[in-house]
Amino acid sequence: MTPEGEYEPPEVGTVFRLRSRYAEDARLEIVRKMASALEDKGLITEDMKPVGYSERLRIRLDEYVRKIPARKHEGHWIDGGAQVAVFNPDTFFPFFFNHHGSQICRLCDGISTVGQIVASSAKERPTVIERALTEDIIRFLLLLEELDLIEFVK
Amino acid sequence: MIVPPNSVADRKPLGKFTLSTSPLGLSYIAAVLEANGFSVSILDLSFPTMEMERLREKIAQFEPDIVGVSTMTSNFPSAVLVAKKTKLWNPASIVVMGGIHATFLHREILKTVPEVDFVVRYEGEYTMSELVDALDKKGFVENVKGISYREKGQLVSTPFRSRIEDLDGLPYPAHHLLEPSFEEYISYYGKRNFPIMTTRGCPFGCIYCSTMAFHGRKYRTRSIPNVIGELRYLIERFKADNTSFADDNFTLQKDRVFSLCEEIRKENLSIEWGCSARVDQVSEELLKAMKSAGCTDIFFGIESTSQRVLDIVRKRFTVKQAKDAVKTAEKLGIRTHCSFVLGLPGESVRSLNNIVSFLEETKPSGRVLPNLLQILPGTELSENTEKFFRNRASISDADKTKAQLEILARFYQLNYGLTELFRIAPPDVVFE
Repeated sequence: MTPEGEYEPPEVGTVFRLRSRYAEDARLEIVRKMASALEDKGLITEDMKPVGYSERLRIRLDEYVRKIPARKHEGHWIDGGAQVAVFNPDTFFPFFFNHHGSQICRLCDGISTVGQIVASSAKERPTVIERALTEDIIRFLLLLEELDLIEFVK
Repeated sequence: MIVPPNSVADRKPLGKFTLSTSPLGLSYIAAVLEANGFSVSILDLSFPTMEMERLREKIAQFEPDIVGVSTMTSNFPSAVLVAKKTKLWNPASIVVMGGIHATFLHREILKTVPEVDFVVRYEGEYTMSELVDALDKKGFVENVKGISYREKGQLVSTPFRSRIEDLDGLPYPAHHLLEPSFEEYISYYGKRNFPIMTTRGCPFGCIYCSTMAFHGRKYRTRSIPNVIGELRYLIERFKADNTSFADDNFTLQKDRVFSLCEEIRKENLSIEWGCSARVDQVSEELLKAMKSAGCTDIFFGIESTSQRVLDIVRKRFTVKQAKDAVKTAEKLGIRTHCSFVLGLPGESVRSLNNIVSFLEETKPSGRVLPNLLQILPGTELSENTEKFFRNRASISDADKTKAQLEILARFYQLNYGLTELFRIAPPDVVFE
């Protein structure tokens, strides 16, 4: 929660513009609308997707919450108390987490399941609907995996 | 010939920066093999869109008798993986490993990686060619200088092969044998960049660097006409408009660099280029000549902003020279890229903080690379680690990471005017 008591989803920031491979590019919305208009006029076929279109990830919630995330790049994380940061030695990117993101990173210990991480986060955020919180945390963990900051224990 | 992936993981991390350059070492070896009548192909598994599965397909398609794998310390685990997969998918093939890491650790590799049959030590062009010839003719490999292998459970190393003196005698690198093709490199990276090596070796024995051990103290050079010939060949055949001079020490012989720049201008070669240089070997006059011949980028291995550390690691230049070189190059419109090695002997948390001040003062506009010290085989530091670190407090991992984060954050702030971080957009997910 922010100091004002508002809910803050877990987030990660860096010094350069990055987005998940599966995130929607805002500019695509315009392209999609145009494509849709052209399709209505029969100028393009249904299978012609706009450039840059990415499939959305499909995640089975019940399976994902049983997974156990673990931080990668031991020795490259620092915990400043309020905030956690990490330097990925392979990509040369520094990453900084907000308070909620930092809490989750600390729990990516190779022992706790995603379900347990969600439960721990929910305790501090009793007013947030658990389903929404779970989805936010999963999105965040998927992003950490893409950034090569965590892996899942087999 | 295989360039191993950069990592053993099968995913390329988001934001991964990869150099827009093709493998030069293997292209040289492949060129010599091709010139001697062998059928060769190079597979670059470090290319961002390349998957390990392609190795399986390539092996099935090409049915190689011999598979050469290059390796550096950073990609050694994935080079071992390539060797293992090769033997799994084609047990009859002979696996040869080469490169800097394999040269210095050939005994350990042959002892611990049974899939590797031979190690080529030091420069591989003629050694590999002779080895392939010997294997092809079922001849005696013991006559091939510069290799190591197992025989009846024993390790055998043939005598050292002298380094190649006549670099002009080598054919131009066989870029045409490369997979992915050059067009794929170009379309991925967006520039028609080709690496060229015009010299080999470096006489400066910095304690953490393996160049002198690998290439020798003697600085070997190609003739200017030979280099110009390659540039012209790249422009005509591949429509190159950009090159990286991959020399370890491009500016050691100033007169030679002046001559090369003069020839590039005289020949009207329309090509932009980058190189690496020592900060004590670039005068304003030289930088001007380089700029007017198309130089756009210079990489400076500064490594530390503490004079004490520079002296301990025998960099043999001063912090002032480093500052002057970056400032002068930037003033002339040449992008400077600066690397630092965090954790060198004699470094302290306080001296690490000076790197931020250095960046604030010099304002390099290329990239800043705050690497953590990796003790490489073949270096003086690897042979005398204890001596160099004795009585010197080491810096904790947390402090090194903190320095890396601060250096990069400040660098991006200076160059991109960032006052806050960019939030990374998470994936769109359909939950089921």
